Amino acid sequence: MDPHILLKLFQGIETLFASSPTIIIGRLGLMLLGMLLVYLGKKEVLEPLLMIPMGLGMCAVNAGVLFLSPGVQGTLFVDPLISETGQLMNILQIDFLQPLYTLTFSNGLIACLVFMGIGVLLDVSYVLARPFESMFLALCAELGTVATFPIAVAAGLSYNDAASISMVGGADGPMVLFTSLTLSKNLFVPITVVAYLYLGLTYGGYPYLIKLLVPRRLRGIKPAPPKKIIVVSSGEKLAFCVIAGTVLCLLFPVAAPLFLSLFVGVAVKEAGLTHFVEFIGGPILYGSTFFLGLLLGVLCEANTILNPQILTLLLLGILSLLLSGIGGIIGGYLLYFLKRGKYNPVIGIAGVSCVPTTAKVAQKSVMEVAPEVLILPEALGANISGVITTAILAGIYITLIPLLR
Amino acid sequence: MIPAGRRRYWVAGTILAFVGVGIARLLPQACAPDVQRYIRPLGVLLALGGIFVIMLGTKRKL
Repeated sequence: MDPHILLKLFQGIETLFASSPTIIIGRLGLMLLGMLLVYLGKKEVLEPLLMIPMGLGMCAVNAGVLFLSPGVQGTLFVDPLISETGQLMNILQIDFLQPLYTLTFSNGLIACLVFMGIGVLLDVSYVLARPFESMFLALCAELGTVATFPIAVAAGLSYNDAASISMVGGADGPMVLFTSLTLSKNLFVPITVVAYLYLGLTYGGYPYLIKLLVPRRLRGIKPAPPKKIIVVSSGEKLAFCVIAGTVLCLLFPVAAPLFLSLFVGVAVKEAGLTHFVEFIGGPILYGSTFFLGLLLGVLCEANTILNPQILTLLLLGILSLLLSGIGGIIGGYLLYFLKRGKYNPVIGIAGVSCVPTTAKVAQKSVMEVAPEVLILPEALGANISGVITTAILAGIYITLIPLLR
Repeated sequence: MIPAGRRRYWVAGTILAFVGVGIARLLPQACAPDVQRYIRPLGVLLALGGIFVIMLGTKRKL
């Protein structure tokens, strides 16, 4: 019996043998990486809500390559590179995830929906109660977002691609997705995948960075109790959303969808619209997160993601996130010195806006050495400020980069 | 909706923020390109400063 008949029975394997060695290694490697992501998600080393659909999507898309016509390989999942209207209408009826991709992903809607959900979870009173400290730490924790840009340009990336990969330092997935969709359409898949993989790593990697940079003695410092209890009414929080949202949209209209999504989430919560809060914080947030993970997974097809620049992006992404973490801790140290030792420098890491992961990481690191010390309110203030400063930086990049030509 | 003790911060911050927006987005159109380069960031800073003034107001104990 001709062994080729067996190969033809399993087109996924036949297409593997018909590919170039780079694609064969890429497909096998991505399938293994997908399995690893599912495993790490299950073990909660990485964020399971994203990693389990993403990992399985990666396995399936790289295994399920078939011959669409003689000599032409493809999948029945999604084709992100189609731009011609006739082809798009055709593929919308063939690829099962194409409608979702075309109508929610490539226009940034899914990022905005996740952002609305984040808005519903935020409580801006943590920021309003301690604006100086929170905003200062958030600004320090943008070190990676700012410093990686010139490094990326020096590494040979265009201004647009450099700005998109620098946003990984903001540690905010929807923001990286939105910026890369706007600025670098050709690289948004690898940039977003790199971003989400690394965001999963913050949970596992930042505790080690804290241990490396903050001595055990300082990690146990109890922050000075507030001199006064500050009460911020829901009316004030709502008014703040309206004014801050309007001003930021006027300043950075290109990032207005992001600002609206964030502040509308906060606004419905503060207005006491419980049905909306349950809807946005439940089905919208979890539904978008699930499909975001699944789409990111199926976008990791070897032919799409194996870009010559991927290694540069991997290095720049981790550098950006590392610098942001270091910047946050430097901010924490500066406040420690300004407050004459009555401030825990670990809080600084929460300025990195991975809500609420970095705040939880900070609290957990402190509790390991001093279980009675509570830094969560300060950490959440910095964390929420981080979301706002990252959105502002996204707005600055999206507005200014096109002017740099 | 906004307590009386904090109202002046809200008013000052809101005015400052919108004046900043005006300086950043409207004024440069009437200026020479060299001047625009300095006016835009100044307006943005002023607008963000306005939002910060509002935050300072909410920090006040009533």
